[in-house]
Parts: sequence; C-alpha cells; structure tokens
Amino acid sequence: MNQSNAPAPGSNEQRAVESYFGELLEHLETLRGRLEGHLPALGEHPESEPLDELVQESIQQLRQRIRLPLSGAGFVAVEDYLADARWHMAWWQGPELARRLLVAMETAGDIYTRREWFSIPITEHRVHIAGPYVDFLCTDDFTLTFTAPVEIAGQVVGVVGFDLLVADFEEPMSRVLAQINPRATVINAHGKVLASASAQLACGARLVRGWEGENLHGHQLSHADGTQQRVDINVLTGLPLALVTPTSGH
Amino acid sequence: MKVMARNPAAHQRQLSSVFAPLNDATRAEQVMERILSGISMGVLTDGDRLPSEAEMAASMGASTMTCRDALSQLRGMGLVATRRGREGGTFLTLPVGGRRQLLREKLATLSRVQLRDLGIHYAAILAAASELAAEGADDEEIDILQRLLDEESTSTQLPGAKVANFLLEVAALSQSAALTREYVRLHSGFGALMSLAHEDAAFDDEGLRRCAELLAALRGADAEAARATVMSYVRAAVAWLVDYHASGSSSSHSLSTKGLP
Repeated sequence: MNQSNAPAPGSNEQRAVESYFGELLEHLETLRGRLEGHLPALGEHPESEPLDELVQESIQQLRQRIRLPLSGAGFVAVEDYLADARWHMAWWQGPELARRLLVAMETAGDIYTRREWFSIPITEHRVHIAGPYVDFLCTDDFTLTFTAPVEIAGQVVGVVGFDLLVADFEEPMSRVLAQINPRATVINAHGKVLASASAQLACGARLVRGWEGENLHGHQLSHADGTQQRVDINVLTGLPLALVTPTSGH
Repeated sequence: MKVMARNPAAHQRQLSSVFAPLNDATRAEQVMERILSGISMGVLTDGDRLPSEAEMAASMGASTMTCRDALSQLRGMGLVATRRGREGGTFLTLPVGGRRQLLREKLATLSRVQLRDLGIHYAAILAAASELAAEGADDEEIDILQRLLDEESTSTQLPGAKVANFLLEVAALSQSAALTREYVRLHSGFGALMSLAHEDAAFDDEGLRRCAELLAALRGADAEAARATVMSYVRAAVAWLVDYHASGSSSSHSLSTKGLP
C-alpha cells in the first residue's frame, strides 16, 4: 500500500463529485443558518411549540429548493435544550414533509444518541453524511442522512438534517460518476459504497476494508469474485467521503 | 399469443392469491390492532399518553373519525381512559399483568403447528438478516451492538427487551430494508410471544448468551456461525412456548374479545 501526499491526479473529476455533494450541503447550511438566526428569539430554552413551527417552515423552504426528493427533514435537540421536554425531535416525513414523526421521546434519546447522524455533528462540530443504513426509526428504508450541528453562542443545541432514500440518490449519483470513469465509486468513511458508475457495485457494499480515511495510490482491492484491482482513493474536500478510481495503467 | 411455459401448480397458486379475499378489517379495526400490538410488544405501557386523535390520524394516514372509533372500542375494552383538561388526553389503563394476559390469549388461539410455523418464519428472516449482517457490518456498527449488550438493564424494561433491541439492530445491519421491515412485522407477532419466554430468567440469560455469541460471529464476519446461533435461539424459544402452550396456561378470563394481530 503506497501512501501518496501529492495532490491526486484528475482532481477536476474529483471536483465534479465534490460540487454534486457541495450543492446538497449548501441546502443543509441554509437550513442550519435559518435556525441559528431565529432560535435565539425563542429564548435560551425554547418551548417545543414555537420551535416546531420554526422548523416546519424552514424545512418547507428546503423542500422547495432542493432538487432531490427528501424523505424526511427536521431538527433534533440535544438533551435538556427545550424548556418543556428532555428530548425533542421535530422531524417531518413523506413526499410533502407533512407527516410528523411520532416517537416516544423518553426512550428515543437513548436510541439516537448512539447514531452517527446525531453524535458526529455534535462531537466533531461538522456536517456529516451517515449511511447508507436501514433506518428503522424514521424512513423505514435504505437511507442516507445529512446532518449539521446547530450552534447558539458556541453551544451545540441540536442537529438539523434531511434523509435521502438510496432509491432516489443512487442512480443520479452514478450518472455523475459514469462521466469520470466506468468504475468510479464514492465510498463513505467505513469504506462502503455510496454510489458507483458500475451498476454491479451495490450501494452499501464494503469496497475497501480497513481503510483509515487517507489518500491512497495504487491500493490493491480484492473483489469477492477473486479478481484484483489497483485503485486510487482520494478523500473529497470537506466531506466524509472519498472517490475511488482505477489506477491508470492498470 | 402465450408462449411462456408455466409451471401449472405455481401458476395456479399465484393466480388464486391475486383473487384471494381482501382483508376486510375496517380502518378502525386496523388502528385498534396496531395499538393492541403496541401493547403486546411492550412499547405502549400502563399510564402512557397516546397521541391525540388528530396526531394519530396525521401519523397513520387515517381520518380523525377512524381514530376516534378505534379509541372508543379500546375504551370499551377498558384499555384506555380519556381525561379532560390541560393535563388531559387519552391514557393507557393496563391492569397489572394485562400485557401478559393479552399474550396468553394470543397464544391460546394458536394451534401447536401454527406456533411452530411462526417460529420457522421468524427464524428464517432473522437468520438471513444475520448472515448479511456478518458480511456487511463495519467495526463501528459492531461496537454499537456491543455497547447495547453491555448496558445495565433497567428494572422498567420488559423481559427480553435487551435481546429484542439487539436483534432489531442486527436485522437492520442486513442493509436490506425489505428484510428489516419483515423482521419488525414478525417481531410484533411472534416476537411478542417470545417475551413470555423471556419472563423466565433462565431463558432470558440463555438469550443474552446467544446475543454475545452472535456478536462474536458478526465481528469475525462468520455468516455460518451467525446463522447457527440465531437458529438455536429461536429453536429454544419455540420449545419453551410449545411447553407453555401444552401446559394449558391459557387465559382464565378474557381482556379482549378478539385475538391480537
């Protein structure tokens, strides 16, 4: 395994993928910015009702602007942020984001504090793309969740985010990748496939085992069918993702 | 012109399923059955406040009238009560042992062969999900499972809750939404019956031991061991339930007039 510190070859291609995700993340930033702008007016510890109204308005704006169909969106508060609830999840689902997610919040806190989409933005103060995973709490489907921390006066008060179904995401993304290379693939921090130009490489498949999140040149992949392939792995700027392409000359 | 060669038996079976009787449960009955299954799974417990009729209607995609009907039937069964005022709402009023009573009634409506068959279906889904989880789960996902298993059980938890939570997470790690949904569906049926077995501390310990074994198999990416562990666990649960069923521990008095979904 060769480590490569030089800028990756073909970074134009990399930028095409980065801008695809960048556009999605801009929508997330807008949503985060709107909440950070309006939340202080609701007081240090808001009541759930005005907060719900604010979140609902904000995600409707998001829904109208974003080009992919969302399967859910909203805000999840950290413990004891709200005045009238220990945990709170203002999350709406369905094609119109009109269906309020009902969760038993006494137990939900224990469940979602363990999830990447909640824990990473809070502990690492950055946006995160969680998944693909089967989300049995919200979408009941194979899902990607984009989340960002909401910070008021330096304190994280919760996360905003949205869910995309793999069914809506995978094929548009693979068309972008197909313009780069017939085997170009985007992987997440766990080395699993988000989308690939190759139709046979399933979303969720483990492509790179034991990957530590670094750029690699000429990394040898062993496929399930016994074939081997050398690839370059380039981390996408500002994203918990990497682009995998066959090493040229192989 | 029909050129496709058809397997006559399979074709006949599929054709009859197309024209099989529709589920004639009314919408209100479906809402009621959902709440009854929530009780038997232990996700709805005594004193829980149910969502308002409007919230329930919006969440379930039913009319408020339908939800009102369902709640009024549950009120008739003595399972919910409505209080007016600011702190008001509709609350679950489950007598002590009420959940177990509902489960025993459900068990009593099953024949032994039905019980075994439910176990086979449950085991098949869970085993397939576990095999896929063994192939696909990454270290972080396995660490989450480990923490779940290491957590102290709280006294408010239902018997078998820890095993059930663990297995649901495993099912989702199959990365198949269809398998996970099927597992959740079976979990509210056969899975709820399994909680009767988990009231037996010896069985519950055995279940937790099997979970630890399953976790080791997932960590080792050993699909075969994962399958074998799950099969042993479900086999033990079926054996326990068949004994319980045979000992005639069916209900002495009835809480509901109909079986659980």
